[in-house]
Amino acid sequence: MYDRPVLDIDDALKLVDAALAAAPAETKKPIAVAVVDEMGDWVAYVRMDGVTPFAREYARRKAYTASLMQRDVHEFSAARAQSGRPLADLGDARLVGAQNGGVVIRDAAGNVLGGLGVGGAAPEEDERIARAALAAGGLA
Amino acid sequence: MTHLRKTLGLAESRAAVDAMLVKANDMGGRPIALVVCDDRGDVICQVAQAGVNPALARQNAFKKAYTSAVSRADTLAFAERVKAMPGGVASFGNPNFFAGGGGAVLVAPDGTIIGGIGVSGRTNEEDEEIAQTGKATVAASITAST
Repeated sequence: MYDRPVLDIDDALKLVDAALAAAPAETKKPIAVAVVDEMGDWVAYVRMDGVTPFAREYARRKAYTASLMQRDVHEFSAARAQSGRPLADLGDARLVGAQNGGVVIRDAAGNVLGGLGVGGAAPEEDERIARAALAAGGLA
Repeated sequence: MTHLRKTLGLAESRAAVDAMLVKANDMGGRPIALVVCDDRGDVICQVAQAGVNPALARQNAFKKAYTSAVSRADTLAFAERVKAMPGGVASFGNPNFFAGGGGAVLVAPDGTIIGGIGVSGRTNEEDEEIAQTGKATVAASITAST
C-alpha cells in the first residue's frame, strides 16, 4: 500500500482561471484550457465563447501529452525530432506533436500530478499562457 | 445569410459550476464530476473532484449534460419518455444517451434550448438535486445580464 498524490479540484480550477486571466495580455483570440490528472483523465476544462472547434480538442490533447510523457510538450517534441522516431511509434493516438502550449504539472516534491494544455492562440502565446497559469497556481 | 442562434456562454456555465460545487460540499458525500455543455453537446466547462470514479462518473456526467441538451429535456423526463419505447434508450443507437437522474436542460427566457448540465458521482437523487441547483443558477445569471 502507498499514498498516491492527487491533483485537487481547487488547484485545477485555480490553474484554468489563471490561464483565462493571462490570455487577454497575449491574444485577442478565445482560448480553451484543459487540466488532466497523471493518468490523462480530465480534471478541469473551460473554453471561452467562440473558440475554434479545433482548439477545443487540441487543448485537451496537449494536456494529455504533457501528463503522460511527464514533460512539457515542446521538450517531448524536441526529443522526438532528435531521435527521428515518428509519433505513431508510441501507439497512442491521443498524443500530439505540438511545439507549445502543453506543460506538466508537478507538486513541490516533483511528483507528476497531471498536465495543462492551452489552445486557440499562436503556439508561443499558448505556451506563455500555460506558464503564467502554472506560476499563478504556485506549481511552476 | 447569417442566422443568429442563442447559446450558452462561459460566464453562465462557470457560475453554475461554482454554485454546484458549493451545493455539493454543503450536502456532503462522495466526490462528483460536473459537465456543462452548449445546445449541441459541446462541453463549455467541466470539473472532476479528486477521487471521483475515473470512468463512470466522468463519462456519465458528460452523457447527462449531452442528453439533456440534445433531447431538450431533463434526463428524468427523458427517462420517462423512453420507458414507453420498445427497446428503451438503446433503440436510439446513441451510446451517449443517458436515461436517469442528474441531467438538466438549460432554456433561455424565450424558450430556446441553450445547453445542458450533467452531474454524476452520487446517487441519482443527489446528482439530480445538484444539477437543478446549476440549472437555477444559469437561469438567474441570464436574467441578471438581460
